[in-house]
Amino acid sequence: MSVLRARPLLGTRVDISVEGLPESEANAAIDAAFAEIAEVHRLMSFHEPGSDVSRLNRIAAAEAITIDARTHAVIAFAQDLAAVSGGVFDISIGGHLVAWGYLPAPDAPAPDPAATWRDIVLESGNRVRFARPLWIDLGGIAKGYAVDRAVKAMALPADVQCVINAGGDLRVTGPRPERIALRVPGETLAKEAIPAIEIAGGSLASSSGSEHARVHQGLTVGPHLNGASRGGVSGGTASTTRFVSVTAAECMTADALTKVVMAAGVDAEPVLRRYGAAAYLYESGGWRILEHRSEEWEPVFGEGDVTKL
Amino acid sequence: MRSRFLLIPAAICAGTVAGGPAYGGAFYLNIEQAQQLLFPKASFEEDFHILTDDQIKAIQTDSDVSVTDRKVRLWKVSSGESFYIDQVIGLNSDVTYAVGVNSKGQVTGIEILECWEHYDQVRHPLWRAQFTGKKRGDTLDNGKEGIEKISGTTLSSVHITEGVRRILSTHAVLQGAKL
Repeated sequence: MSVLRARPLLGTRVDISVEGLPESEANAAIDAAFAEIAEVHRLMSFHEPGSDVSRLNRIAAAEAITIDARTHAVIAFAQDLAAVSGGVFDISIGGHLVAWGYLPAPDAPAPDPAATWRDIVLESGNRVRFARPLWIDLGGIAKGYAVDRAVKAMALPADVQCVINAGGDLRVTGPRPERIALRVPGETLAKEAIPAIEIAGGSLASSSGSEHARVHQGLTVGPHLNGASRGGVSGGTASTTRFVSVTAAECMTADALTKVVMAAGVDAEPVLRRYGAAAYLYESGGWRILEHRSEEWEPVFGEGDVTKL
Repeated sequence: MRSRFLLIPAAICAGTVAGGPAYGGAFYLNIEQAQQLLFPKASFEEDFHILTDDQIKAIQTDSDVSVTDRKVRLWKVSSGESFYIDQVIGLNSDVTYAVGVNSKGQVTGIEILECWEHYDQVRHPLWRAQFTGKKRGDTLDNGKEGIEKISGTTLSSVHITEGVRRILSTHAVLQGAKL
């Protein structure tokens, strides 16, 4: 018995499939997952004035505020990744994304151009304050976190196969591997080989620059900017032509790391290693595989029993 | 977690649903396969065009569909027909499809190369067959007399219909017709 349902959430379409449960139980589990994802969206939306993110952007520069434990956990992870990546991953870039037209300007004190992730201070009791006015955006991480939370909310037995896919950020649970074809924008025509990732009990997230690239003050910019240099601005536009998929145990990790690889390319390897993740990077017409060591992960070129799923 | 990266030869992948039922959709055909389905045994010569501003204007006026890509991916078929590859916006991402046009400017058939949707009924032979024989100026919309709109994949079915209309106008322009 297989149940597949979809719902528009998190600014994308979330698909959930469950195989190996009676229909009513599968539906109940999927209901719980959608409810949890909607909750994460409500907490972490940049757009909704009542979200934790909006409240922080409005108030946290003046005084510490208490937020939901889930938002706190996401910010804590973001800060860890910011430190590990030398600031390449930086959730304080909301002001830049607004300036480039990717996000609407919030009704909040103007951000200090010098503010970085170091100005975000996590205090005990789920409290957060900002050392300078800044705008955080969790768009590069909340989708993956929502998927992880949904998996928890479903609490499925180990022999039930399940895939939660939030617009390409997905997590697979259950005994079987799933095969996911990767769609590299602009590279779909006349390809001899289709790139795919097979994954069991783990997460996969992908990012591409070209689909979202736009021009700002004469420069090509993408929504994936390098927090350390505040570029993505790329005179070389590398980050607007790359495509990357990251595999990791948790979807939040995979989701966030795609942004680091988009910005840093092969230099992201030490960061991937730290989180036990691997990346598959497409640029200049070829694939590069980063941090992919175990023999179980050998790429398959050419023929094989690939028609079987 | 177990995972691996694969490069699957397109010839093997065609017809299988990559990614399994959860994500829906796939690369169904590559260009060569679509060419052989529409024009078996023929050979193909690439004849890509970049549309001029005037041509774009003429196509837009004639088809009432906006031209978003200046590049026309056209192959001349050894048997005298034309083979076009085009992309339109689907539910999640682009739908890539092929259109065959004969020397009278009539559609000989369409094939879906790539469509990332669970409800990919635009691939259904009967839906696609509605285009066969249509030419520029025929009713080619999703009204009563036109192409059936598919519930569940409305966007793709409407956009493919518009795309075919645009291609027929493009074909006429490239043949030198005054529109």
